[in-house]
Amino acid sequence: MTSEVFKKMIVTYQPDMQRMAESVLHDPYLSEDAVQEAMIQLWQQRNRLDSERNLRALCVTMAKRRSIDLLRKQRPFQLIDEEALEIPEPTPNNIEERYQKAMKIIERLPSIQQKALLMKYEEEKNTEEITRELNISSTNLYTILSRAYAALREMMKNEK
Amino acid sequence: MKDNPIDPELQDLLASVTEHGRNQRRQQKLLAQIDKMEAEEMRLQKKRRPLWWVATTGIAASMLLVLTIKPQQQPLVAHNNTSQPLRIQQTDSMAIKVNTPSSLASSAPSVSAQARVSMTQLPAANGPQTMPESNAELLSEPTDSMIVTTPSSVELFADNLADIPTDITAPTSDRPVIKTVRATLGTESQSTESLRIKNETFAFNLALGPKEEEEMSQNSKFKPLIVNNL
Repeated sequence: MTSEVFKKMIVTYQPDMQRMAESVLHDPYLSEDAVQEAMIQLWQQRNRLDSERNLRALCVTMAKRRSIDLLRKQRPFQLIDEEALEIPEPTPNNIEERYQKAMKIIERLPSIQQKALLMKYEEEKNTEEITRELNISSTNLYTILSRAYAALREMMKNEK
Repeated sequence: MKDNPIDPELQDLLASVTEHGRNQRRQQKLLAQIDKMEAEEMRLQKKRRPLWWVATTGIAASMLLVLTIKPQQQPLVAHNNTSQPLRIQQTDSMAIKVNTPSSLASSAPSVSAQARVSMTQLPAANGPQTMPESNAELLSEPTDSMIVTTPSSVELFADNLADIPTDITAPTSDRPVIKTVRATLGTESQSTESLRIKNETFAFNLALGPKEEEEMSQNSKFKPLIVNNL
C-alpha cells in the first residue's frame, strides 16, 4: 500500500477510530493518542493491508486495542471487559450532513460573521486570536457573533 | 465575552461544525505523522544504500579483475589448442633437468641448460612455434618430454647429442622413449653427422601428416611411425 493510499484510508476511517477510542477512554486527548498509536502500527503493517478485505474493521479494532492498552496503563488494577467494548457502528453520515447543512446556512451570512463563527467553532480559536486576526475589538466580536446567532436562528426557522 | 443563549438546534448545528473542525485537525496531525514516518524510512534507506554501493562496487571490481587477468593465463592453460607456443617446450626442458644425473652436472653443461639456450636463440621472426595437436599431447607427458619432441626439439637433441655422455643417451628400462628413438635411428654406432641428417628427416616426417608420412616411410629406411606410436 502506497503512502497516498494509506493517507486516504486514515482520513476515511479516522472518525470511526476516534469514536472507538473515546468510547473506551472517555477522554478526547487520550483517544487522539490511541488513534495515533494505532495509525503507526497500521503504517508498519501497510504492506499487508492490500489483501485486507475489511479495512474499516481492522482500523477500528486496532484503535480499540491501543485504547485498552492505554487504559490498562492508567488503571492497572481495574478489570476491563473487552467483550463489552463493541465496535461502534460506522460514523453516522448525519454528522457530515449536519455540517454541510450548517455550512450552507453559514455561507448566507455576511463575510465577517462567517469568519467569526468559523474561527470560534470550527477552528476553536479564543477571543484574543479572533480579534487579532480580524483586527476588531472584543466588543465588536461580541456584537458580530450575536447578530450571526440571530440570523442563523431566523434562517433555521424559515427552513422549517 | 459571554455567548448569547443558543437554542438546542443551533447548538447542535454549531457542535457539528466544531466536531468537523476537530476531526480535520486530527487528520492533519495524522497526515503530518505519516509524512514524518515516510521521511524517516527514506532516510534509513539512504543510510543503508552506501553499504549496497560498496558491495556492488566490490563485486564489479573483482569481476573486472578476473576478466582482465584470465586472458593472460589462457595460453598456459589451453593444452588442447592446435597451436602451442614455444613456452610449452621450455616447460618440458625442466623434465630433462630432472632426468639428468647430478654427477654429470659438474663435468658438462646440462642438457636442460643447453636446450634452454638453444630455444632462446630460436629466430624470433618465426614467431611462436606451432605443432600438431597430437605432438602437443605428447609433450604434456613429463618423462618422455626429453625425446618425444617437435621438429625443433629433435634438432636440439641432435645438436647436443654429441656432448651428452653416453650413459645418458644409453637406453634404459626407465627411459623407454630414448630406447625407441635410438633403436629407430640406429645411433649407437653412427656418427653425429649422420644422426643429424636422420633426425632432420625424422623431424620432417613429424611435420607431415599421417598420409604423407606413410608415403615417405615406404621410400625410407627410417621408420618414424614408431615415434608416432608413442
